[in-house]
Amino acid sequence: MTIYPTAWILSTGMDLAWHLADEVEAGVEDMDGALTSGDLATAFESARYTLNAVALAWQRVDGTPLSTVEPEFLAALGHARSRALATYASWPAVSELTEERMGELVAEVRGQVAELRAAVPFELPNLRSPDGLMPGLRAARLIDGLRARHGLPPFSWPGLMT
Amino acid sequence: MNILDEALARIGRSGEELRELLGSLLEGNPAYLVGSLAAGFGNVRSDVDVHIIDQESRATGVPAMFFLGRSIVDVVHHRPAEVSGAAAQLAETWAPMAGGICGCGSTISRKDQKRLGRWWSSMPLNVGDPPLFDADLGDRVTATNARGALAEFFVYAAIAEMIEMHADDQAIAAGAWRRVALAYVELLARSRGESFVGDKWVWRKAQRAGLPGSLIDDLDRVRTRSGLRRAMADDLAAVEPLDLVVVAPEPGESIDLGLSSVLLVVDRVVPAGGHVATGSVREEIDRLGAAGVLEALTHQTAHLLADDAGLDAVLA
Repeated sequence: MTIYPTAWILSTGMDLAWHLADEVEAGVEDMDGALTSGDLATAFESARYTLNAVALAWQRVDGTPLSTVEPEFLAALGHARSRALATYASWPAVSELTEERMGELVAEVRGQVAELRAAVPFELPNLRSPDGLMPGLRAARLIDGLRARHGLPPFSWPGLMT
Repeated sequence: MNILDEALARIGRSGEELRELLGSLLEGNPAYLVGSLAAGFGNVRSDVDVHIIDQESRATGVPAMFFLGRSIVDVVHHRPAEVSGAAAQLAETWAPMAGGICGCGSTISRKDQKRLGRWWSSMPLNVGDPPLFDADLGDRVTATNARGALAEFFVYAAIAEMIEMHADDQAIAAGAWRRVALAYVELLARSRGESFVGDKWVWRKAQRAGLPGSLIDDLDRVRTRSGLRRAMADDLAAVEPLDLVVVAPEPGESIDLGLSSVLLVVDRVVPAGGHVATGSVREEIDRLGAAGVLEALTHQTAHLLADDAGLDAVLA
């Protein structure tokens, strides 16, 4: 069992858990939706987005703030000399994609998501799903109560604002 | 089938079901389907984005969330002044660029580009609600959208230049240059009438904009700066991005602690000496190194902007 400092859990840990539930899972949903529709090009771009979102999550563990805003997204990956950029460069041209090849890329990205999930100290219910909304709200209330007890402001829930 | 039903059919739903779900929220206020489904894209997993235009001060920016079956419906309120404000920002002059047109004068923010794209392609939920933008604004909307994409292209290219200097690994720089080429595809599509929609739709937009398949394919194979210049089909290839992009610090508070001074920026503390100054990104690279500027962008203590006068000169 890994033991984490409370302050880390309430800041970095929360960032990671919310990023996984919101950005990374949204990327996976987009990949699946595009694949279901037979839209390989959109599935490819969703895979790129997810790959980058996973890479940024690992950078957060090392102390980098999380942002999925383009184009700062690219600067953050470049500054860390992220292998996600090399992986993206190695992927085939969209015109060469077949269902089989796209399936391999999706499997590769899913593998990276699974590794990240295993490393995140806890998971949050996905607020943006019918099954996750109420448990997500309960978790949010608990987290913000803990943050208040430790003198921290409420969590900002990036991505929920438009 | 009307266009609203056609759009919602992609998630297996209809306009009538959406109106029933939102019920009294729609009473007395015009409401619009916006986002990827309204823009002609979207698929079975897409969210349903609805904007309601009303005079009440409910425009918090926080969407109210509903579920239509398993589909998420995000409802955001906007005031009429926000829509008229977006119309007032539209480019009034434009120049030919890359087979399409691009606005002159100034660049609107990414957030405003997103709103403009959503409102331009919006669909009324109720028969009789007026369109948010008059159809005769088409060229001005296209020019404004393209201007945003042009600025963003040069910002991406400047970042790729810095990654090339910093990474010391051609495989990593290759990924950055591929991303820059994607920004150029976005620019070509927008200059021909496409709007800001999520980045994942770029290939669909390129196809709908009628870009030649061979050009798109050449761009998708870009992995170097020289490769990008060869693949680009216009004079923009000759422009040096580092000459067009300026860096600006986020506003912060400087604190002298006696032994050292620091800047408080956003929610972080950075050493004052390592903070970027406003000005030429090339000069800041000379002062801090490409790594220093990339670090400032990464930590959100600074941001890059394309210089509007420089962009106008390019268009001229």
